[in-house]
Amino acid sequence: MTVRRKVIAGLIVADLLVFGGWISSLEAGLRRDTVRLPVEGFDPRDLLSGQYVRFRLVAEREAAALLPPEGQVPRGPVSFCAEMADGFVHPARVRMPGEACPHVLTGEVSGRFVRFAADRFYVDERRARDVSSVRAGPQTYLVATLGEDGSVHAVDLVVEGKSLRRK
Amino acid sequence: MKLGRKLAEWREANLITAEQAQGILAFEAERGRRANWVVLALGAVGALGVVTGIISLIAANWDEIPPAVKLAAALAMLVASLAAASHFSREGKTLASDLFLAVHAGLVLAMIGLVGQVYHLAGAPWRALAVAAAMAVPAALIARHSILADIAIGYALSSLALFLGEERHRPPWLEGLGWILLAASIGGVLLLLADAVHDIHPPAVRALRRWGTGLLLAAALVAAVAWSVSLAERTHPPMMIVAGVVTAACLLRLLWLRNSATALGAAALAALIVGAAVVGGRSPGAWHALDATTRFLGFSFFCAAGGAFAVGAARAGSRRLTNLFTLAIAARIVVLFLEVLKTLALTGFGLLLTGAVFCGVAWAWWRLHRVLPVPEPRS
Repeated sequence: MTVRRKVIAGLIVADLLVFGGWISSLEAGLRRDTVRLPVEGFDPRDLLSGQYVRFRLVAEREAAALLPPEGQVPRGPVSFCAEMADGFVHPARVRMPGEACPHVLTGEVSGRFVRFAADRFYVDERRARDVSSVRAGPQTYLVATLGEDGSVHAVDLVVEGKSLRRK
Repeated sequence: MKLGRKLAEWREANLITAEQAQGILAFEAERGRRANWVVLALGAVGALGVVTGIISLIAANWDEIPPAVKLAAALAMLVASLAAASHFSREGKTLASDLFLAVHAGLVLAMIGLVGQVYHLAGAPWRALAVAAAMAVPAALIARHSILADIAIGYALSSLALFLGEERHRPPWLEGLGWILLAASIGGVLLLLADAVHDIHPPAVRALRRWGTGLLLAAALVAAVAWSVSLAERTHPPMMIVAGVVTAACLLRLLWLRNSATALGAAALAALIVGAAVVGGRSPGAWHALDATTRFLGFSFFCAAGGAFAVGAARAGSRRLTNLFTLAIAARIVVLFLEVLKTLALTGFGLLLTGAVFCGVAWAWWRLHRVLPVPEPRS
């Protein structure tokens, strides 16, 4: 076998390991118990990225309010202890190292903003017009699983009581 | 009956000579090649129609396809493209093998996008491009054609641009013309890298030179504009120092190769780009035209760089590059007249004068050397 064919064989193994491993970890994340996170309105969709509803988690605004004063805000990932209230999960405080919490939400902090890496939900273009914008309300929320590290895995987006999950 | 057998029979019967038989075979072979192009063109249009139709049908029913099927099909296509590359490599068909490796590089990016869509991920695009670049590098190293190196460099540079473009990653030293200085520095490094890998991996050299030259030309164009207007932001010194170090390395390399004309061009180009960062940011916060002397200095650097590179290209035997650099100078002259002279009559008069000067320089060159500046390409 030539060096060229050995490299190509190595690329096949790399493809299977990288994408197989990535998909397996995402699937494992989806098998956990689901929670509800309230969402509020944002840009409806971006045609360049496919048909998806774009939203902002209310938890991002709540987490930003929990950040320490200007100058003491860390850059990068910050974990928050989250608690259930009215059937929804809300960040309650910045998580101390090793602190046990009922739910953990981890987001990237940039300035005074917190992002939980869940801001879009892909839908079929035929249904995109029905949900052209997301409005805040008790019947509009994201169903997600929370990883042990506090990562958010979107499972379903419910807009005014209507599920957008693919059947 | 095959033509060859018929010709052999006619030759044996002394109806035609051996030369005539050869002539007929050559004529038919040439006609066959022409016919092949028509068949290939028709086939390509037909295949394009079929492929586009299949893609449209799949896209129309995209939501009906279960995610597991989509992911499995995409993974199968990734592996199949590499299997095809390996198959053609074994048969010694390197072009076909490299094309399948290029298809694989595109499919890697598509696969990342598909995973993002299926699992509703909201990752930054630079991460996807960085992974795709990392996976394109091994293919670029074994490829016999430069397209794979082009893809790897393109992915890597796009990833870097998107990463630095994100507000939270954007360093202060990229303010003002920092972006242009960074692009020019990367261009210079790619050209030095092309020299370094010249004997190790020739296909990558072409890609490195293309990207390096492209980045430098883009930087030169923006810098040429920046000599005429005040920038909104001041450029910070660190990027000027980086650009200066890369320029020094390029100049030393060119002087080592005894390529004085290109070294002179590189020095003028560096003065044009770094000078634009210094001059354009003198009064930040206000967009206004700079004084005529400064503009003319920028114009002079542009023309000096273009002229030196044109002479360097002529000495290297590249008619195409000589023409390109000469045209760049001509275009800059027209722009200068539009910038400086406000009326059409003055612009016309100025262009006439410049045209006459250029014709005079060309005539003088001809009188002195009795040859055109571009020698025949080296064999």
